[in-house]
Amino acid sequence: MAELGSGVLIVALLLSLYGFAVALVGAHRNIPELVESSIRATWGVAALVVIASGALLYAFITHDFSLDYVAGRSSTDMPMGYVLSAFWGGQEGSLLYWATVSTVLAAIAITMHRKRDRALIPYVVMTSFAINIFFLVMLTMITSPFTVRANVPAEGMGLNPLLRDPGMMIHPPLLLGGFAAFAVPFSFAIAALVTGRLGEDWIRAIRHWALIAWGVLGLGLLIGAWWAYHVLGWGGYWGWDPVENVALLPWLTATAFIHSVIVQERRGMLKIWNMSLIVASFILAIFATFVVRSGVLSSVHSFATSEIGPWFLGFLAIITIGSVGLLIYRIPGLQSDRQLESVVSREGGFLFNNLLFTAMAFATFWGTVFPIVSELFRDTKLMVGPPFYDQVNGPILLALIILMGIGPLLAWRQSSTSLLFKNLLWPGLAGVIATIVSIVMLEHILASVAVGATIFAVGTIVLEYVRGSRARRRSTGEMYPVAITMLFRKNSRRYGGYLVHLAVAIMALGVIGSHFFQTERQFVMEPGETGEIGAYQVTFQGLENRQTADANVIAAVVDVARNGEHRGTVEAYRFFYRNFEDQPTAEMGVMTIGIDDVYVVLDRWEESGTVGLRVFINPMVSWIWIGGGVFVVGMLTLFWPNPKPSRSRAAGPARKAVLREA
Amino acid sequence: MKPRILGALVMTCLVLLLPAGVLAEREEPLSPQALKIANDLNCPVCEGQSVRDSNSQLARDMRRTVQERLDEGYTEEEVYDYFVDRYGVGILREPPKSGFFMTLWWAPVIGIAIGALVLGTFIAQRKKPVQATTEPSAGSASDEHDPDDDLSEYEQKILRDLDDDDSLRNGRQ
Repeated sequence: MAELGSGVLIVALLLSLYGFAVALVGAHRNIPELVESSIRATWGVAALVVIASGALLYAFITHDFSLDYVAGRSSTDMPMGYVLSAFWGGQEGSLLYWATVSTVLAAIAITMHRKRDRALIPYVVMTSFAINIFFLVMLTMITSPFTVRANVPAEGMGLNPLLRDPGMMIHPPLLLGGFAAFAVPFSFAIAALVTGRLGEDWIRAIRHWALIAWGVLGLGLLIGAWWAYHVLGWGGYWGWDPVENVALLPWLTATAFIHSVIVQERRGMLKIWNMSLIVASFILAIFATFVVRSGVLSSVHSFATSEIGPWFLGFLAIITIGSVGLLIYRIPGLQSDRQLESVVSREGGFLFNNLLFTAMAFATFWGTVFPIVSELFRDTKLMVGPPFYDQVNGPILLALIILMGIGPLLAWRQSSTSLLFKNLLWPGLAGVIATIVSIVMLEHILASVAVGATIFAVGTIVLEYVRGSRARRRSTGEMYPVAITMLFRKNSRRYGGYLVHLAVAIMALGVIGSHFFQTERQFVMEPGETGEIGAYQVTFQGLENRQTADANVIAAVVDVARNGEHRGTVEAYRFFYRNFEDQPTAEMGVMTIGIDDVYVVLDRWEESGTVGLRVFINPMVSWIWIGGGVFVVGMLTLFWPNPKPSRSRAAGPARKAVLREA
Repeated sequence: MKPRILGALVMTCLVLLLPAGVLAEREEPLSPQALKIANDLNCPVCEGQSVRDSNSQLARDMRRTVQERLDEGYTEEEVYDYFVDRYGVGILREPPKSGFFMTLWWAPVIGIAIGALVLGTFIAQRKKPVQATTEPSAGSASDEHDPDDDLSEYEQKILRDLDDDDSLRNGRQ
């Protein structure tokens, strides 16, 4: 398998070089045959990289410990699921996975767009080959997953214990997949910049691809949060850890993009800005891949330390300088078709949205790199932890939620203020009432304001659905359920988008609840003892020592009662994996009762059976996961194909022109 | 099979040995104030975790120190100062808002100010006199509106949006 794997990767590298050269010549000399050949080369490269991935997977399945990568990350006693997920458990496999996703998506995108975007395609091909070449050079020369060991061990090391969790089977591939997927919109952006075809073509071509990358990355972040909550055991789900931050950065810029691109489609404005956002998202995705895999910013994720840092830094520098240069060169061609008529308009709302998202990205970036700055200039080691992000990003998030409530009610071009205030009446009233009720009930001003803002945003979303379906009912006479379904079917983008907004609001409530109202107590308990935290009683029943195929497990069995009434039993675990006995990992005992999570961490224990337990009551955390579910549904709705309208197609462009000018 | 059984045995012993004695002195549960302080301190030996959340021996000792100092009547400030003296300012999870660290705190504010300035310039530049348009939805209409008019206006807007999107899509296909 090693020969096959490294062999196909070398062939893929050669084919990429060929494809790049042929596309270049084909585009310059205008030889369609050569361009066609380069398109086919993308299929070949994708197939070869997939074969290489298959070879590595096969090596994992057959426990081929002659491969250094396989021997270092898996063992025969690991469950097959974790053996397979060990594929991306280290740097080499992660990069191979990255290359697989980006080459396959590039091949699909190029094939889909080769007819319609004929002028762009050669440069799309070249850009994606340039990216492939970098990754394939890394995979063949610097950090190959197919390095063979001189002496084959009888048993492998096994996977890093932190990665042996169901969350880690899906979190890394989604995150890395999201990063890699940004290569497609980036390639189109570069093609548009090089060719000077900066009109609507490239924007239309990449919208869905940017949305895919954004959605997959968002889901990856959510699952990462879920994993952290269940495994890391500090009672939270987001620690503003450097690696989390860098993964969030491209998502923030992409979120800004999927909003502002609407302005370009509708009004032909913000062209430079949109181009910059796409370029920035890709650069940040590369930065994230680099940071996770190089350990520059040390953090709990720094197990993936390596020597590839300088290579990535060089690649990062090249794409940054190259794309910024191209962007500046093309600024004259990126002027707006139309002008902003009023700040109080949908465009204005999107502009503020973008200001806030980029400000948050900047603050997060700055906080993440500040330790390096401080070390360089002041020789002071420090860590920028959650307090900084709470104070800086907290207000920005609050502003974003308020904007989420106002934005959808703004009209394009110019909103009449009286109509706007009229529309804001009901959501605003809901928000104010929610704030007052919260202040009375929660006795916490800041949290109450945040709840009020969120309810306000929810009010707007509800209002949009109600009015949309009422309008349909009036004009078509449909029943309300039909009307709502038709709203989604007719305009999945708008109403699916609101579903994502709703998901954000649900998650916001979860974040507010758990951020402001978490309680914690520590107990030292003998078996049979009961501790009290809030309305809950936890009774430690005893320790159990268990043996699984690959680990020794200590389980603390804890009964949970609410106001004296028994509600169930949770187990908090410590795992001691073979070869990793000095790195015990944990899994928390979590029980959701109503809106509260009772969260039990096994801290310490004695032979006598006495344990140290930390118990958290985390209100509303389950809402974050519910919001995550709604997010996925909303995202899928965004991709739901819209039925072709029944009107004749010929009317399309004319209508469009009329409506645009109207 | 044999080595594996042996391995399992060794491991069980290890596991049983490892934590033994850790609780030798029964640590008093921390007071809420001590928990808060512990949560504001970085664990020096583990990256990214607070003293409250870390499982390391050092963090455990630090937690105890925090509690002891508080019990001895030290104020919160004095406890923080004690740790800053020993470990440097990097021990604080929230970097101080003074001296060099002001750059950390002010950069985002300056960033957002510059962003707002750019946005303001963009808006000011673009906002040229607009010819009076007669489009109903764009109307900066008078204040005395018939409520029904507003609603129907809104409905019109939605229907038009829907149509517009249909035709936009059509145009693309």
